Amino acid sequence: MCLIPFIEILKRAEGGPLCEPKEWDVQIISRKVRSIIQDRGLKGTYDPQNPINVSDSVADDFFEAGFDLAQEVGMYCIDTQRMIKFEEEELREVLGEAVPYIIFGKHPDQTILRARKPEDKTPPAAFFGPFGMPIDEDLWIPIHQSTAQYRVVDALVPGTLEKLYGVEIAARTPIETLAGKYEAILTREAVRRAGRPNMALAGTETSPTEYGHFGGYGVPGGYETTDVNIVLAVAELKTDYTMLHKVAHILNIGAPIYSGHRSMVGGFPGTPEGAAVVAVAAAILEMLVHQAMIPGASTFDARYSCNTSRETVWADSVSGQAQSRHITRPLEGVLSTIAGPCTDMLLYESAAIGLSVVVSGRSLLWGVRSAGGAHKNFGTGLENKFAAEVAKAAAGMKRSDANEFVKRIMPKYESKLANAPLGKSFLECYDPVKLKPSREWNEIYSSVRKEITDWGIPI
Amino acid sequence: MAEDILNGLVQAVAEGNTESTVEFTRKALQAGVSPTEIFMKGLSKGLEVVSEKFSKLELFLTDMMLSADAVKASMEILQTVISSDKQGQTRPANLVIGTVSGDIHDIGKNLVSTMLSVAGFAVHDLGVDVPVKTFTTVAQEKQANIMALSSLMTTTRPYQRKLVEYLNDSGKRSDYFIIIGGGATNPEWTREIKADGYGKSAEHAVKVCKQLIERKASPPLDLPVIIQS
Repeated sequence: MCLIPFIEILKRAEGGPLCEPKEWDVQIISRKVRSIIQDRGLKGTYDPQNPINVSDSVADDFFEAGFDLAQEVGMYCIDTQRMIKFEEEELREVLGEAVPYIIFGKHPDQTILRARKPEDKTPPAAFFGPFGMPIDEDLWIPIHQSTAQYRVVDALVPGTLEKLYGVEIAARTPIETLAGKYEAILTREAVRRAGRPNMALAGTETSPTEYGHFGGYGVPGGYETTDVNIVLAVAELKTDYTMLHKVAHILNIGAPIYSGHRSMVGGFPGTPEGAAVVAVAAAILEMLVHQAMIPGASTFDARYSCNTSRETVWADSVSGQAQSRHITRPLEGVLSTIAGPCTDMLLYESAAIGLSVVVSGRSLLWGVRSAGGAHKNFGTGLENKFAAEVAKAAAGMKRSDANEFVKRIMPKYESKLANAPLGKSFLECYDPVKLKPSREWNEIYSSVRKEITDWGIPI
Repeated sequence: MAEDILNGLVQAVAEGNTESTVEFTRKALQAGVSPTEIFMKGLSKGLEVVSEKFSKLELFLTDMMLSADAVKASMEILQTVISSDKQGQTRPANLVIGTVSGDIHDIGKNLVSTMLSVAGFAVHDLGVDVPVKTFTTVAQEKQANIMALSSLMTTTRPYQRKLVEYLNDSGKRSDYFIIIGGGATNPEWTREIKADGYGKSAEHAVKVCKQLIERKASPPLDLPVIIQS
């Protein structure tokens, strides 16, 4: 899968055209995206009445727009302030390289990630968990085990450690390096206790810089090559030495690379259309710059720090369809919610974005990121169970049907996005020993589950 | 006449048109409008329009940055004529802002920086991955009143605490208000590290800064200013 060897990518990062950071954001991204949208007649495509795109031709138009952007601007390396650019032929060639499936985890707990298309009957894989939120050291195992215990969740995405043996973990310090492996050890213990010792994990979440990754991924006792690694690009279309270090490290180990990117509705791409175009470009460029076998390029709302607003669900659906119709690799999608546990809003948000992501052809769902992932210990297994159930139920669903469901779900929460309920922390709505939800949380879950099942979502 | 000029100024700021903003600023001064009124009824109102439109996605980050440039140009003209008598006016505020060490996320920080500029603050944006020492050195050079620190990750937010600790240890804590923000932060963290303010969004951050400047109290505050809705 190294059509362009990584050493060539590094050469281009060191020798590509120079560009000041502000020039990249304002002149290159912002103006170029607007120009492409104008030239390709995509302005005004966003349809607030229909949050899930149902048109293949619209998806294809956005794919071509994203391809144009990828070819014209490439990816920006923050450390060298240079553009990593590609010829059209190089971009077309990487699109032709299919990765039909990848296996993570080990028998009997392995997960097969398959490339999907819109409305694909193949179920997606649910990679769920506290997803980067800060978690207390002594609650790490129960919180993660509370998700791992549900078989409908395929792989576990950890939170972020705040402390290691009581010492605060700060980026770029040796403690971060130690923490990388410690996170892996604790998370593996959680899945062992859930009876799924070989379940795939995603790591290293506690790695704001390359140090945590070096400390945790591919080291004895740490994350293994059968676990998912994490290389996150920076919006918009940026990489840096931290990411490139991680790529080099993973290539040295010989594991498949996952790379994620979140383009911002309201940010430099501007409109939902702009964010969708950038997302497509990101997916294409990640396959080259980060050598990604699993490209991840979703959208995010700059106003609310989530991706469940109407504009973002639409942008995500059209870019997801654009990607899955033209890229035959497992593609990542994200469920980034803003309400917290023990609220019905969290479940409605998960259902809305989850349906969109699945019917739009993404293979791997990453979530749930309760309460925006910002509040310590505000994650439980139940929202991840719910999200996984909805995701699996959406396999084979028509986009038009999913659209009708999402149109019913959205009014239940979208007016509250700016002031979403925080809900309750793990200890406030879960028994930490029995790992059962409180009656209140279970009733909320059961009620919402029944409601959407009665509508016809086949959970 | 003055009203038409001020309305024109609002429009120019909202459109991010620096040339028009400067032109209307000069016209307003020539028509005898005070700098304070120009700021409040022209520039500040333009800010409100920009904020409102951003919340509806009628404007985006790039547009806001253009508006900020327009307001900066206007403020440079106003600064030359602003009276030394500050009574009734918001006292000028000098602020350093950056994303903390180890963290390269900047969109939220850029949004806050832009909106603070548009709101009339003198903003010194240090960029991303900013060490504690750089915050303090630049804040001292620029005679800043406020340090604003952004962190998007759990493992970089300790640097917000480290700055507070450094200022305490060096006896300079009472020289600066410290406000924090970013995806990894929240009111509980703000209280824990004894920062002076927290804003959930860029608009909230501007309100926090305004409150800090308008208060009679000196840093550190017993209770931080927390604005999240």
